[in-house]
Amino acid sequence: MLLRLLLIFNVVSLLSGCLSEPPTLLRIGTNIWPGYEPFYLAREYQWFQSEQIRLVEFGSAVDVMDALRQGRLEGGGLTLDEALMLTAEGIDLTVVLVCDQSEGADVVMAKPEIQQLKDLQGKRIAAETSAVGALMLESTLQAAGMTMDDIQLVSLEPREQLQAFEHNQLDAAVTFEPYKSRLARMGAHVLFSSKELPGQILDVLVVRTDALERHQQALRYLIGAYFQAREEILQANNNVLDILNRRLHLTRPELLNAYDGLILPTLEENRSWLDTPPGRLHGRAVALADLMYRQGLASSPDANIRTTAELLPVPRS
Amino acid sequence: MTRHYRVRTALLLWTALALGITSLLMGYFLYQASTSEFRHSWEARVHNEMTQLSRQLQYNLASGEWRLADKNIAFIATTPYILSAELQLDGTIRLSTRRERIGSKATELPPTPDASEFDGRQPILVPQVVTFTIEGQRHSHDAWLVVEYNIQNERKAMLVNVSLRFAMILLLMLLFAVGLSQLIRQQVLAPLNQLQGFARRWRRDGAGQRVSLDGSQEFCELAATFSELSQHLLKTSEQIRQQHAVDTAFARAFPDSAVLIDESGRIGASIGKPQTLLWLSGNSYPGQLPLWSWISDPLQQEQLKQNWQQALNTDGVVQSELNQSGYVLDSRMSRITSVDGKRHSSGQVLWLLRDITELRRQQQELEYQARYDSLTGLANRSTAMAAIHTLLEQSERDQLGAILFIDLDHFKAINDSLGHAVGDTLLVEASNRLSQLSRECHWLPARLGGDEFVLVSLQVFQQAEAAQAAVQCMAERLLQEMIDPFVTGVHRFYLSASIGASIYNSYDNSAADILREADTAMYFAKTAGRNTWRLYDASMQEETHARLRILNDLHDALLNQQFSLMFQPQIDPDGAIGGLEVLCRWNREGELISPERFIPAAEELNLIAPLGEWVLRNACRQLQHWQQQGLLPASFRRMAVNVSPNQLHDPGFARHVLTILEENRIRPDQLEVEITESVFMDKRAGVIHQLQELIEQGVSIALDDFGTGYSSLGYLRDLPIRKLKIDRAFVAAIQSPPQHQPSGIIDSIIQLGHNLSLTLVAEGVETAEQHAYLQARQCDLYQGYLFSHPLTATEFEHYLR
Repeated sequence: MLLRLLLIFNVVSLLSGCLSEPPTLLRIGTNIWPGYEPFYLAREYQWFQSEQIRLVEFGSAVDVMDALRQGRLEGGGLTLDEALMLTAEGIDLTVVLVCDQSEGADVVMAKPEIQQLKDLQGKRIAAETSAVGALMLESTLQAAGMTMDDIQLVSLEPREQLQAFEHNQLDAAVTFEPYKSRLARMGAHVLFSSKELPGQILDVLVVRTDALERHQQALRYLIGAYFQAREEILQANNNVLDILNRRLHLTRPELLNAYDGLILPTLEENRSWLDTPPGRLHGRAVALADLMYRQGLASSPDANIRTTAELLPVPRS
Repeated sequence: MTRHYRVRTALLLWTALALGITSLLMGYFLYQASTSEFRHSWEARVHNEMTQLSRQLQYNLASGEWRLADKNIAFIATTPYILSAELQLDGTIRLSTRRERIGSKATELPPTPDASEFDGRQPILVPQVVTFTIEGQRHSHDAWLVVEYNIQNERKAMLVNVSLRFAMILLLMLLFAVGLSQLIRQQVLAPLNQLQGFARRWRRDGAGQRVSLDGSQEFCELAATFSELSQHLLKTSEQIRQQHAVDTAFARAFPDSAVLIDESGRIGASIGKPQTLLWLSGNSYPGQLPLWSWISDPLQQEQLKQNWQQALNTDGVVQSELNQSGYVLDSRMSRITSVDGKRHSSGQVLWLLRDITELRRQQQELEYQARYDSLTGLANRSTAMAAIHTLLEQSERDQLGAILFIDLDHFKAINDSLGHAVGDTLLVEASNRLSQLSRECHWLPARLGGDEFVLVSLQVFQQAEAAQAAVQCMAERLLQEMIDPFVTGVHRFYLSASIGASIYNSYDNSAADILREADTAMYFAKTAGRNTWRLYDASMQEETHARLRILNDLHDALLNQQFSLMFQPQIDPDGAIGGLEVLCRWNREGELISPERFIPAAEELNLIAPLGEWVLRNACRQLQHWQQQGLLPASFRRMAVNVSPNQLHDPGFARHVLTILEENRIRPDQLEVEITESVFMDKRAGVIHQLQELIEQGVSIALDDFGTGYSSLGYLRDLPIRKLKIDRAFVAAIQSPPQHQPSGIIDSIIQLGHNLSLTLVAEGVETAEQHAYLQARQCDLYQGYLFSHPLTATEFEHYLR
């Protein structure tokens, strides 16, 4: 009798234990950036469950950072410098995936009359107040043999730059896809690109470290789906491109062009970025942090970001 | 038929039932309450969120801040339970959480969801209008915000929560039930099992066991009570066994029969000797038969039934007597009260039968003996008295009754001489004659004792004459009846009877008085010469009284010197004084009472000895006085003194007489002792011995009243009697002229005296003719009025001179 009751008690408590664990949602936020499109393609193909993983689409990376700060996201797609800014604020983040390396995707677009770097002398140049913006601008000025004093800096987000450029309020702008292609439609041309800075600009998927354990399973799913979608995109068949374009609104050449400027690292490359800290990414983060400190974008030169390769899919042998 | 469950099973079933019903109800109510609360809270929450969002958007749109509006919409998507949100303006989706939709044509607006749709079962589309006016413009725009909520997870969480709470309560209830069940098992069932074991042991090993129970205090107390009960039962059963042994022994020794009568009046179990019933019923024991079945007499049957009914309805003993087949049975019935101690009857009756046949017979015999004379079968004194008493009570005033008192004449002599056997035979014969006559004449015969009988007239009479006639008739017929000789063996007897009759008035006398009157009358009949009857009259009573007075006064007379001595001279043939006879006189206050009256009285009262001594002593003293005075003539020989037979019974009499003589210096040959023939009727040797001693000392003996009494001449041969005194009756019979009417008897007596060389004294000589007659026949001495009356001492002295 007593045994039976104890058994019942156990069953009940076990059952309630299972049930009381609420099905938690892994929220990953990104801005619109071709490097993140594999996630959306995977979502389109329903390679992960929307009940477990939700992709939240923001207008800019700043919003993604805000949402991460507020804890309304578990993870997000950010450039490495953005991630470092957040960690500098004390938010504990872990890099679980390197989505892309910008090798041409980040560019300085200029009016047609500015043909050479030295033509930038005294011109109005728009840039995002971000590490990428700073990095691009600094590299451009360095290549032109100028300093910040030689130009007029206008701090504008890429989306806002479109309107300002149209109204002829800008001479040049530090931007990236898909805004690069849109500016190109208005007659702007590439003056300087991240091709000149290989491996310098990275987009990563960061997750709040406190949510890492809880969403381990979902993250593995997501990353697995990411790599699958990456393959699809690299094959670049029409169907896939159509799907991408619903969000990016680019012409087919523009789209292909955009991806030309991006390197989507393979699983193995990711592993080399992330594995065995201090890995390659860590070294990059330290250098970036230093740069940001020097630019006044960060209050500390320390790079307090974690990396893990644990969540990467194990290659099938 | 009721089914009996084990407590455990019942408890389990009940617990299961109660738990089941409670949990069903509780689960239902909990679910209802929780879902209702869930709906309401979500409805309110959604409403709040939508309002807040729409306000923000209103502000953004009014100021043209599309970027901020976009950001707000994007942020909504971070809310887990919001699937999507979009803003429609002018039929186009302007903002959306899904970027690919922006710019596409808006779908139809969903209806405002009902409150009941917030139950979390399905995703809900919630529309909210956002009205804004762009700064600087006059007219407003209506944008629509459509948000898709999905609160299925929250509902699940709520349900889990409810389930958890329900499970917790259920678990508590289960624990409670288990605890209760354990409690009952340990505190109730375990001691009950122990108690059951105890009861089994009790049954197997008998009472007296002790038990201790685990569990609560109540059970400990119960155990103590049971132990006590067991002990008590042991003791009680011991007592019962003891009592039963005693009862069994009692039943074995019980001399009577006892049977139980059941409710229907049938004879059940028996105790003692049921043989009594066996004998009475004739053939077999009347068990299982109605209790009256063996009684043949229908009246007694009825009585038995009544007794039984009576016994059933009372607490006492119903007693009756039964007569059956010559047996007398004492029947006692007592109901048996029911075992529960209340006062109502169990319907059973204990019937005790005692054979009292022998007792009754003995009682009757005793009664008979008490009322009847055992020898003759006649009624005894008390019965006769009772009969008289009854007659007295029953008779009316002025009615007269009669009795006869009968005494057989001389019966004592026959009884003494021939023995009691003969006497009894005579009595039986006499009583037979009496009873035969009595039956004819309607009288009741009774024997008072000895030879005394009484006849009581069972008739009463209105007139004295009739009574007297009846008495006379009866008395005479009785006397007639006695005439026939009584024959017993070789003896033939002629008996007579003296009868006293009394006629009594019903109001003036008691039975004892009446009997005494008849007795008195009988005495008079006896005195009148026997073989006759006398009717009582008052004078008889007076006479009797007189006699009684004599008896009463005699003592005083002796003390007060009321007696005096008289001296009557005895004359010899020469005319000289040859002797004298001393006579005693009683002068009672001037009234002279003759010796014939007081001597028998003195004898009766045993005063004869002192009286005799007084007479002798005074006579001697007188004689001595006269001797000294020289008054006695030369012819004087002896002084005669009467001695009664009773005096002679005293063994010291002779010596006493001699002492008195010596004291007064009187020679023994000067004294003559006069005795009557009746002295010799007493055969005792003492009398003869006394007389012989006196004779040896020279005292002479004279036989007084010769010829009137017991005429056996043998004693004349045995005793040296010197003198015969011829009774005055014979002397008186001498008529003149004597030669014409010779008196044969006196002649014979004188002849006898002469033949035996005895001195003859004639008494009561009153006439000269008598003197001459006697002198002619040579009598030796003469005494009588012819010569002298008895004289006082002084007179005698004068006479001597």
